[in-house]
Amino acid sequence: MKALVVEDNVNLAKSIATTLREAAFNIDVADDGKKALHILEQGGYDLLVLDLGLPELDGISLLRKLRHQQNTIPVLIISARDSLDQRIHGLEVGADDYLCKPFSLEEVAARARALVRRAKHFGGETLQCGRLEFFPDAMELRLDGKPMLLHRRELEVMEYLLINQNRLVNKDQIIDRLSTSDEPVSYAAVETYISRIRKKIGYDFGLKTVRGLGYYLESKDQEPTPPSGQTYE
Amino acid sequence: MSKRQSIRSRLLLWIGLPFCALAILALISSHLLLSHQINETFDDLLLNAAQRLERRIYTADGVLRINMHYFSVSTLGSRGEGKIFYRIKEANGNMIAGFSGLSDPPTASHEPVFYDVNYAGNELRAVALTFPFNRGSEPVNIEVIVAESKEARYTLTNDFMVTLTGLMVVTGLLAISIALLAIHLGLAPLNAVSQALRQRSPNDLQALDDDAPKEILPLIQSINHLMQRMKRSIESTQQLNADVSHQLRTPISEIRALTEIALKDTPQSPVHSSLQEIQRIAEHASHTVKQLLKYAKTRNELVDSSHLEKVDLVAICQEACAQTAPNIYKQGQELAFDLKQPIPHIIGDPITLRWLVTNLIDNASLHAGGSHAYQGTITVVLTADADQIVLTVSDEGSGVDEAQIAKLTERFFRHNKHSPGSGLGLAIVEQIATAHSAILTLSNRHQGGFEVSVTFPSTA
Repeated sequence: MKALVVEDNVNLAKSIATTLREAAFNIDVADDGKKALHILEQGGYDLLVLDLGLPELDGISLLRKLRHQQNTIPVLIISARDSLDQRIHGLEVGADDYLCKPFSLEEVAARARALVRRAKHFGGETLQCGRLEFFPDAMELRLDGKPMLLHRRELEVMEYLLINQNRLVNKDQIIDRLSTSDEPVSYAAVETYISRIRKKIGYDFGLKTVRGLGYYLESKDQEPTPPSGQTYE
Repeated sequence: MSKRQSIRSRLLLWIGLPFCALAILALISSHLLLSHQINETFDDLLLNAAQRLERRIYTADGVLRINMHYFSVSTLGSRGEGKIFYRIKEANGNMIAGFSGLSDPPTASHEPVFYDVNYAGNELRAVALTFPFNRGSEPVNIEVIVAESKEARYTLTNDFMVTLTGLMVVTGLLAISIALLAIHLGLAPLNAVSQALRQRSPNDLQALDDDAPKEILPLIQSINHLMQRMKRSIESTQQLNADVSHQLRTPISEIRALTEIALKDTPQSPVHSSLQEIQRIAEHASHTVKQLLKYAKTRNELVDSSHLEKVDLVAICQEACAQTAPNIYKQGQELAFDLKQPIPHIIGDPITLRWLVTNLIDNASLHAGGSHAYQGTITVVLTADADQIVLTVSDEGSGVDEAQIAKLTERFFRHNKHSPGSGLGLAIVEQIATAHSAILTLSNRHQGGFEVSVTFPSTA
């Protein structure tokens, strides 16, 4: 996996690069928007980590240019500019995720992995969660390498949950995902699918029911982190 | 403590005092004029009586006599009241009839002379009249004196004065009532201004309407000017706060990032524990900076209520839960959202309302366990009835010492000094709640744990 870090602060650029390398990324660094645009034209990048406050070409303009060129590279914005307005603005222009300074490197790595996972999914790569591995092309779920017998709907639900690990997923989102077919899906049906999936997998693979909200699949490929006062903003 | 001056009593005093003085002056002059007029009228009547008496004198066998029964004396009186005395005698001294004790006039004259006299303990008004008469062929001068007690005059004057005074009192009372009404009406715009100010929320610094009468317009303009300055002062303070927080973000990010890298590079080194401490402090600082910015922003937005819109609290709660969920589950806690009935929309600011909910969830996540890390469920509940909508965020943790509950919304107060909070979370929540006219209630739950309720007035 190849990622470009665009950050003019040397300490931050270096730290982010080091962390992402540890997370198995190949990293290039650019310290202004123009250089970044030039580097990206060569192609082959799976992720762009973009600071908004840059000399020459600022982050938002760079992103707008990329999207204008039909470049769909996943973009994680990092900014000292707060306010949700800024965040919404960034996401509207085409950022995939937004991280506000000060952040933890661990958080950058987690978000970067999640972005690539979601993007890669369309590229046919597998989704993993502990002992489970999902093969999107074959629509197959394997437990410890052995294929499991799941109904097509259950597989679709499982796929959606695996794409959105460490995120709150509500029933409406699952229904939207499933409703491409003719019959409408009810909340009760979603609950049935989930309970069948649990029964068939047969062990606690990290799926939590969040009362009144939906489901949360905790990925088991991260080391547990100590509690901290970090808020996600 | 000196008594506060009142415009109303001042006006009353300055209307009432001149009015009383005028009334007294009017009464005195009326009294003088009346007494004078009454005296003249009564004097005329008295003279008339004397002239009538004069006509009753006749001569019989060279002796002057008077044709009057003793008891008809009273008919001489002007109004038949009071006592009448008379004396008729020749100018040379021979008494003809009447009371010889009546005193002579102070001056002798051919014209009628009026004078005051005292007789037998009576205050009398007398008239003396001298006229020529023929006794047989001998001409004599005859003097007639008629005196009348003054009671009738006094009574008449008194009657008049009593009526006049009564009229004055009634007019005075009427005038004071009219003055009170006028003062009330005149002060009404002033009362309207003070009421408008009293009914404002403490954060409303909008200008007052300046359609007031021109007398209080300068006051309103001064108030508006003051509010404008307060607004600017608050805004500049918030801007400074925001700038400072903003400028701190990048350096704190650097410290955090470099510390994280250094920690990984030096697992066995003696500096490891120091680095861990630096990391903890940097995390705390970054959290505080973020909260300070939010605090500044919510304060800033309190001043300006222009970007309020219809807000769906259910969606706000769901978004806040989705936003906080990764952190909550990473720490082994759970989230739940209970919705018992449909919730009407409220008028509010969606961004700050989401901060309110995320702050309450983060607050529970950080503090519910007391000195231990919390391992339980954080429940968000929305309920509604006709008048209000209640948002409750509760935990099943160790609760808070009752004595400290009131202090929780103070800035930088942290009831658990060991937890990594900024001490701003509930202050921000309170600020946002206040901006939405909502009431913040903090309490321990009967079944254990802590609960924060935000009660919004229903706008439906």
